[in-house]
Amino acid sequence: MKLLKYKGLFLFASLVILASCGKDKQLMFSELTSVYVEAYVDSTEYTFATSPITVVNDTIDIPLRIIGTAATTDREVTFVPKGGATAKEGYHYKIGKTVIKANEFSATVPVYVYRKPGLKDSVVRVVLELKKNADFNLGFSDRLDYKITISDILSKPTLWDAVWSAYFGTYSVVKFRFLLQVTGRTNWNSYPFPADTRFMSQRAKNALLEYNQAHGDMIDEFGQVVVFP
Amino acid sequence: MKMINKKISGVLLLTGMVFLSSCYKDKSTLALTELNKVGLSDPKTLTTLNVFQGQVLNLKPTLSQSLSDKMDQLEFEWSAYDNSTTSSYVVPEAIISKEYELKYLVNGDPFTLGQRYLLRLTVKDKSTGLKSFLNYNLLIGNRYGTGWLVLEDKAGKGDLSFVFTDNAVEHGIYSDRNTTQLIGPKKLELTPFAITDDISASGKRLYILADNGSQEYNYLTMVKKFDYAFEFFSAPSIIKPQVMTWTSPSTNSANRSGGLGVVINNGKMHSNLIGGFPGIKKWGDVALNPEGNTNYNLAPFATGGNSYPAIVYDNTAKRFYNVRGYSPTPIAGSLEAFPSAASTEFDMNNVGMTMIFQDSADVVKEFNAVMKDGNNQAYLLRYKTEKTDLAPRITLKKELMNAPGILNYTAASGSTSTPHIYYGNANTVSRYETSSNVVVETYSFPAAEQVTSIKYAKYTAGSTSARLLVATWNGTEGKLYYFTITNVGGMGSYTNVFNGFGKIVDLAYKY
Repeated sequence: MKLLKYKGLFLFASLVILASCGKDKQLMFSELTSVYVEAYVDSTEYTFATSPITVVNDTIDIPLRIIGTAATTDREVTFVPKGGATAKEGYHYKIGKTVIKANEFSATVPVYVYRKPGLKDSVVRVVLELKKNADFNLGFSDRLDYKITISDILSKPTLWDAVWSAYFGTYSVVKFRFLLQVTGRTNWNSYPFPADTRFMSQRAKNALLEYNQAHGDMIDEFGQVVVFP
Repeated sequence: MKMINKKISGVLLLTGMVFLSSCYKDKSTLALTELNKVGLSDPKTLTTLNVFQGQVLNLKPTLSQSLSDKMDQLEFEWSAYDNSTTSSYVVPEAIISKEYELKYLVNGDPFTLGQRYLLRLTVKDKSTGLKSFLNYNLLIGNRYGTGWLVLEDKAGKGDLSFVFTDNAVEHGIYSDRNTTQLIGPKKLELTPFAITDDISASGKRLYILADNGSQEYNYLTMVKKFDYAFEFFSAPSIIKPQVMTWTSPSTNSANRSGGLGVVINNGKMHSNLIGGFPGIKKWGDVALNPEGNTNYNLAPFATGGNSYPAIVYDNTAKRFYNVRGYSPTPIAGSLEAFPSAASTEFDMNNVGMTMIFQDSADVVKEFNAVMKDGNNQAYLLRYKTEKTDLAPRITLKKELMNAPGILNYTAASGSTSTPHIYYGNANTVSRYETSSNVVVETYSFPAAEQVTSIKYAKYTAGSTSARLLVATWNGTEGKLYYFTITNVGGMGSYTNVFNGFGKIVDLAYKY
């Protein structure tokens, strides 16, 4: 009877021990990879008016990043215009290759913008949005689209008050046109490096001095004398 | 049963004996031939060999052979590959010799200045194919690392010579390594600290100023890097470089760093600011004076420090300006007036004299300026570049100088150890004492030799004393004299003389 008990116990213990030999399922990330727009700002207001007339197209780079693992093959991202856009795809703009390359975690999508006659008196807009597809889920809900405004109209840069006014004072179209001419800078909607602002402010002051000596005070559209602080 | 056991024991014993018999060591040499073994050794492999560019690398390790001398059966190959920490190890090996004794001129490919290389000698016995190896570690150095750089004018064209710490002299360095001629050489500008301007890799800078523009040169190799115009965001319309230097907020050699870059070109100020922020830093546009115009003419001298990033002197308005380091308004690089509290001994904003010379004084952050007034009298103005809120005064002294000939000096240098200014007139060097306001010593060279350049160095390699260098020109040859300066500033007589130069226009200590 005792022997039977021992045998039973032994058999049970053996079964328990053998059960531990089963392969444990590892806790691994197995979700579908997500994608989101990585840009710090969610929009670009692009104007050709700050570029020489010879510039007929340009590129806006939009950075994308994934949440998840890199793949061994290239994966297509669906990045398409939202409905209601006034900018016409293939005419005002064209979206470049939207691919996360193999073994990569990010990509830059080029959006080519074109200088068209109608942009002289109108502003066109498009919002590009990420869509779910077989390879990608959607990432952070507030970083799934990117707005682009295209024009050929000289407008006050969005960063003027935050950045440029410290160097150049109050905005006026006359002043801005003069700055475009003498500094050579075309992108006024990105933060400048300190060395650039040093030179730009010096160049602007010297150029205005030369202008005033040759033509008298420069007057802006508000009837004010153009000055740099 | 016993019978069976006996049989089993017999089988086991037999098997054991068979196994044990295999332990016998076979001493047979049948079918074996002793091969020639090549031994290589060289004590130079124990350390890293510092090899200078332009030097012949001569190596001949000790070679031994286990059999009779079979040198004719040996093949030699010296190969080198980049062994720097940044090396990817996929760079190809370069074979530089196939001789037993290596005699190789290190100059250009495959060796790059500052890189580490593994040099390997491979010896192959042609009859057996056996190879032996010996590895050397090399560091490609620059023999022009420390010494005096001498800028010469040879009939209007510039050249460089170098005086090494062992007093050896090499001439024709500029023309040896540069194809662009240096027309009208004027001045050497070397930074004692690294500059991170992102125009090129961070490092010390070497500028040579000349009539038709200065250029930046590689500090190590002295090969031209950039044209003068390239150093500016927008090149000046008139190119006439006078100063191209960097001030430092600190004078401590351990903490010195580029503060504000100062270019004086055609009497106008251009500035450059570095400091870790991104983007390429080049020299900016012409600075405006406090009146908002460019009607000024700067003397070719600049100082600076922590309180005032740069201080310059305007010989038109006859006053000092400080240069704004960085601010949006007023714009960075502007020439600005000093606060009234800065001036007591003389007015920094209204000096009323012409600056003819300026150099460091014997106290750190203090400077001596030699001025000429309207009556052709020389004045010494002394000021400092540091102030505090509690002690805003920076002017220190104004004195009518008793220094004959100072207004017509041909070269001068201030002592940073003792209160002296050494200046040259014709064939004579005078030691003017700023504390007692007299010339306390003179030294005359042969009458035909005119003093063309003077430099004072507090510390130089190979000398425990301060050193004064005086360059002379006799119309056909330039000479360079070393004076060992006593601890009270005395020149005595020269200790070394070096010949064979063109007309020396400037000197700079390179380290």
